[in-house]
Amino acid sequence: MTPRTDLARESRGLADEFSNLLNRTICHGIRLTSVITAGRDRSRTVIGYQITKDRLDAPECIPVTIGGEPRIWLGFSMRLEQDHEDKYLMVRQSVMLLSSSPDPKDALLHYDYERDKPDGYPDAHLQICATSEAWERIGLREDGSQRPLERLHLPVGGRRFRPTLEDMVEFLITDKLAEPRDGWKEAVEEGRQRFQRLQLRAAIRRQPEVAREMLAEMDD
Amino acid sequence: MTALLEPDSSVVVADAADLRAAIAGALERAGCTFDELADQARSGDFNSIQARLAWVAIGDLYDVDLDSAY
Repeated sequence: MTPRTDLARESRGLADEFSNLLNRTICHGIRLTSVITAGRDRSRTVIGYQITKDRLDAPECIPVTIGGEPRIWLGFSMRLEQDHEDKYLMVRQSVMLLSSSPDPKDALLHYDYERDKPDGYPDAHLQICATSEAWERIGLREDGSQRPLERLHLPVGGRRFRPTLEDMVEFLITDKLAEPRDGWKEAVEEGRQRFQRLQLRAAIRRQPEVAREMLAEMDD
Repeated sequence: MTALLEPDSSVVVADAADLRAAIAGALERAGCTFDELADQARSGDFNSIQARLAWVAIGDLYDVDLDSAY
């Protein structure tokens, strides 16, 4: 397997973007790593915290703190590969979670994304690791099986409008679960604009006639 | 293989042996075989967050012959 130079450069850029976002907002000195490996028919990369060549499955969550003792941790794992035209880096799957300890086993909730998810559930969804008597009652499904709240797939906007790391950071700050650094809003906004621009470009590639129609309307 | 990459701690390249170790470790922490993990993914119902994280990290390598991939 010969990794493409673009994959190395682009995945490094993305890992650094995520690290910078966190270090400019709610974290201190953390660094995400990108591990490139062979895949089924193309190279792929996994981005995460404290991952290594032989441990790719998010061993530890990121302490959310800019100096004091953390009380909440953020888990992050993302797998990407080049698209079928080998032009763009494409996210295949990601998980963002909040945990009450560095161990992802103590997850409180997780946002999952799986492109072209084959099971009928939404590609982007939220799972909340909690329960209540009411949810247990409701979790008794039409087919007689039981599904607890933490295994329900709450839809969150679909492929183009799925929640991002910027959204998670903003949530933690605005709900006062994390102490922010000065200038956090600018960092969040910059990252958000980058994501939205990429999504818009992808949407236009898929449906150029819509973009042409809109531009024609605007020119009229 | 690493000749294409500038040394940088934020990017590393794994070889086949690394990947085998990564798969074995992820499955051990998920508490299941690769077949069972794939079943969980097909049904959209992972047994644990470790299984979910394992699927992100290694799911696309299910049934991949790593020797030929490298």
